Amino acid sequence: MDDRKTAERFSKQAKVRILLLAIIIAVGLSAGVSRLFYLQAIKNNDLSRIAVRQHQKTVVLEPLRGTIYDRKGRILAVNLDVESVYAVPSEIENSHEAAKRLSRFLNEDWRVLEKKLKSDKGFVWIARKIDPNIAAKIKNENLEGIGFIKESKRFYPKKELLGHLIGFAGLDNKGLSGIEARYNEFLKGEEGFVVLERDARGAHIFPSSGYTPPVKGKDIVLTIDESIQYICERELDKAIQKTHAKRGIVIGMDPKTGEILAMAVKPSFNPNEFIKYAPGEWRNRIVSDPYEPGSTLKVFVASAALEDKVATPSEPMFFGEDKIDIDGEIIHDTVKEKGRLSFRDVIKRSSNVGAVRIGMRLGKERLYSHLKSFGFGEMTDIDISGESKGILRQTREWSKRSIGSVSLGQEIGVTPIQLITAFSSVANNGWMMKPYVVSEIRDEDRIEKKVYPEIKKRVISAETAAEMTRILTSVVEGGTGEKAAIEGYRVAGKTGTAQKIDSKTGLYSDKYFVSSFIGYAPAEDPQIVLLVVIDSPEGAGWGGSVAAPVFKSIAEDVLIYLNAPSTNEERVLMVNPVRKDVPSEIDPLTGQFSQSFIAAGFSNGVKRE
Amino acid sequence: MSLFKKNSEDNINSAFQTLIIVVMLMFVFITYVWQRVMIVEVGYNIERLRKEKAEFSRRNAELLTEVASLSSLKRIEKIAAADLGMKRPEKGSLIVVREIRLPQVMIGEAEKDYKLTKTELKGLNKPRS
Repeated sequence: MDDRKTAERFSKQAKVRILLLAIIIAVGLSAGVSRLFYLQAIKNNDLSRIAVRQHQKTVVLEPLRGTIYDRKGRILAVNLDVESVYAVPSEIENSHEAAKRLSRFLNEDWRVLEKKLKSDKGFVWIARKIDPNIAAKIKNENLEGIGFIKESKRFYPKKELLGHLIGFAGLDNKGLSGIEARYNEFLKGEEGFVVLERDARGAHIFPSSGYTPPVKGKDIVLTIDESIQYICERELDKAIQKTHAKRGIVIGMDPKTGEILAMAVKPSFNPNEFIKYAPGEWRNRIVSDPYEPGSTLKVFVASAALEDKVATPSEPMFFGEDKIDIDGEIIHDTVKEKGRLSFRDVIKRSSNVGAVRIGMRLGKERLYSHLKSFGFGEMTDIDISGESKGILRQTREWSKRSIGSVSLGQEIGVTPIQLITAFSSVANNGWMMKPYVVSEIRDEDRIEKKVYPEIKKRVISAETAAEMTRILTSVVEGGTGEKAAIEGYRVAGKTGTAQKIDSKTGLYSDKYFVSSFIGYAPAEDPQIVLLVVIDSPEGAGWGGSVAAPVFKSIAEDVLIYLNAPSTNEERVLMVNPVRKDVPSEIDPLTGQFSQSFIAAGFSNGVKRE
Repeated sequence: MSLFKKNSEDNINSAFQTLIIVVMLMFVFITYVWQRVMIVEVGYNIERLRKEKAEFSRRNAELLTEVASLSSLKRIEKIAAADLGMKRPEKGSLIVVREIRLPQVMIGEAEKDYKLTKTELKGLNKPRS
């Protein structure tokens, strides 16, 4: 009986236990299923996102900015990968010590660095795009919590050379000035991205679910020739040093095409360190700063008079006077000549009185109209940003004196690019070409866009241009521009000496001048037009004594570089010397023609033309 | 007896079929896993080569920039003058020797003397660019 009761009790207990276990299991399973349901159904999207974030990483691929070349393919601006330094503040134990060690290399106050290192952010930039040598030194320090990222940095290997024209790109590789800004759309390229999968150790596995390669920016080829640019900058530097001038510019242009061959602005600036210069020093004064051109403007007044046939080259225009009266306004002359001067000699000697008389022959309306036609008072549309249109007032705003002043290059503001464009039309038989600095836009090796020379208009006839060339040649051969003469070449040019306005008195200064010379050579077949402007040189500041010698030094080297035909060169028939079936024509030691060549009719080794 | 034998044969066939299916499934599974392993391995290789390529490109760009810096005319002129003691040619010491066109009257002679063809002479007389 007891056994049965005991068995029943145990059976009951067992049932309770089993039931309890079943309930526990059921609850446990329910909890598990609920959790699964919660994770899989409710939190699915959020958790998937977290998982993807842990396994995958989207990296933006910065495009390589296009390279800038000169006309002969020499690199002027290029992108390089350099190191940027960052910190993870939470990983730095002794931020004070780390800041002090970093400041030794980064040229930054340690207190500023320490503040960054103590930041509660997960990531802070310490220094971006630093010098590779400095980066190597910091790496050697093995600082905890300090890391490095490679970033692309714009680099200008020629430093100051062409700084004002090329401009610069900022930290984010966006063009901020010069060609870099103007052609940013072409140069910048397109960003790419890659979705990288990471393994348990954080290493990248490639390829992954998405990869869009970055598109490199287009390359730009300039019309500038680095060699000519260097010659211009070198000679301009020397002139500024010698005359203690405030600043200076030189611009070189091919008159037949409008291509700008050189563009030098001094003081220069190094685009690699643009931040060290005041923003005013970045400005390309050649296109942005108008100035009173002085006597160089007489070229256009004379051209206009010849074109309208209001005077002839041999006609007397100066009769020994030292001043001229325009309705009570007196304009003085610097030419101390007792006798008469012809129209031609007025330009040759740069007579103010003669030039005023030529201007008055034209009359203000025709003078204004011709100057407008030469492009003064309007932009040349050169492909450089920040161009000024200069100052050419409407004739209704002219005073009684204005016709005289304008004829002398006063009361008018021209930019150097306007002046050289107008002057080049005289060198180019009267055809005005549109100036430009970018000749090609390239996509890798393919030319995407080619810029061709563009004729703007005819401004004077070929006859007037030829006569002006004769007159301008006389300026250099015995006139005010004698110091621009180059042995072996005929040079056509004009001097200019413009008084600057004294900011204190508001009147023309007797102390500060803008000395200039503009010319082309060889006169019979111009290869280059050069404008030299020296601002505030010490001393008298005559264009003929300050700027003309600079022109000469530059043109001498440039003409040889350009292989321009000279009048005193040795001219020989050269047959390709590498050809085996053609005899060597000149003995390299004696410089004489070989016998077979003498037999062919060259009797004296060198044949002069 | 035959019934037992038949049942036994069926069982063997059934087991064999199951085994084949299992083996095939395992083969498919192993192939799949092997493929995945290979993909990952090739992925690592590609990533390594990509890094190598990027490093070479970077080095190439660095070297090109170095060439551009070293070929700066200012630097070359300085080295020529200061280190090599070179100076600008004096007046008269520079003679420009220029190629000229062969005079028309001499074309026949040149053709005869040097056995130049007409095409070669035409090339010779090409104006300077």
